[in-house]
Amino acid sequence: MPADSNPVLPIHAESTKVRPAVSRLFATSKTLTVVQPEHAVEAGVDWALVQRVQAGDVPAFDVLIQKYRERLYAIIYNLTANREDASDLAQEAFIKAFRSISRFKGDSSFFTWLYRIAVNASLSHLKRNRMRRFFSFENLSEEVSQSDLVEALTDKLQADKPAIIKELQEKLNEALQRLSLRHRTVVILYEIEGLSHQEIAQVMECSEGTVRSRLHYAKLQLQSYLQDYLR
Amino acid sequence: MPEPTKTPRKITLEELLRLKRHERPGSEFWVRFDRELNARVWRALVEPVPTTGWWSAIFGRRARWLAIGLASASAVVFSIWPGQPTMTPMAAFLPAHLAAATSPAVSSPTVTPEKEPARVAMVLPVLHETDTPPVGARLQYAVAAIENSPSPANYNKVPATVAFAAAASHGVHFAADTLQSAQYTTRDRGSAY
Repeated sequence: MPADSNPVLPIHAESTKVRPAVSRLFATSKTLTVVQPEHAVEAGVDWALVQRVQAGDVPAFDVLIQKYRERLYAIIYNLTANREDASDLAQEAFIKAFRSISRFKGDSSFFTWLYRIAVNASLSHLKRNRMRRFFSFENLSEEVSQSDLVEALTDKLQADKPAIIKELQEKLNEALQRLSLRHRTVVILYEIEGLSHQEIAQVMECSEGTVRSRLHYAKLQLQSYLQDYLR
Repeated sequence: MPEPTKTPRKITLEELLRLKRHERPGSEFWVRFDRELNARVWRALVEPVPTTGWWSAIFGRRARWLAIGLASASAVVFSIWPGQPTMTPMAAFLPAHLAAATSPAVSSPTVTPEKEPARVAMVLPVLHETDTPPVGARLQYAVAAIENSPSPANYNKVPATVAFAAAASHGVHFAADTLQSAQYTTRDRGSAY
């Protein structure tokens, strides 16, 4: 989902549709929601699966795991920059969701609820292990070396591609890790995972204004850390 | 004639950050992930729910001592006033007719093991079939969860879930018989809750 689209977060399939003009007049992030059809369908599917899990259908939870595991892992991996920790924390997040799914009432979409659990688990882990940090990165997929961005960087920096890619990965992760946890989270959710400001606000339990200001500040920081690649 | 100079392409921060979308694990990672997570899900099903809650948020580190104090006081009260909780913690997870099947009354030592399959057979036919994963795999995870559980696990919960409904009519008895043949009786494991 592109970050610059405005997909308003669906609550679940039974949300009332409101005309956009009215919603702009009265909308707050908590009280009024305009549902886009594709999100309503996805939210409806998730809600049906959640209800099956709540009724005791454990394999229905498997379906939800398969649907969200890659995105959940990606968020946690980008927060922690450690693939082993990310794997463990992603599993832990799913287990927490499984244990508390009976309390999920559909007030938010399932995926923002799940993402919230994952982000909170990651932040707790990072706070507990502040002094013991080891980075272990995933490999970048082959298609990256064919991208015009890497070609442009190779021209700019006059170095060979494998070296550029390796260095870029290290510098990117280093720059992200230099951000505070909250600023890193916002950047990851918006720029990498493509969530909207409203969805991020729901995940991080803050206002959209706070999301925007954190994002703005974080980008300024990152631009200064990565200026060699941006000039 | 000199070649026109190429204007260097502007690289944006957003483009650099989007490179991170390509940092993804391979398929072998997901095979292991799914296996480990499945085992943990089934373990979560049979084990007691961890007792951290709102009081942790309020009382912080003192929550542990507060909990121990309250638990001790409760133990004194219940030792004087005999009574059993009517619902297991995980019963909140199950609908009423399944919660009844997993209540301590079923786990009472006075219930003989040969009655357990009959109770399971009574409960499961009202549940819906589910097609993934197959009964064999679910059973493997369930038995492993019981075997590896560090605390007493209530195996009655496992057959009583929708997960053990099977297209084959003997599926229910197969599940219960398999668990029973491994001697997971309530007497062996003790009453869990």
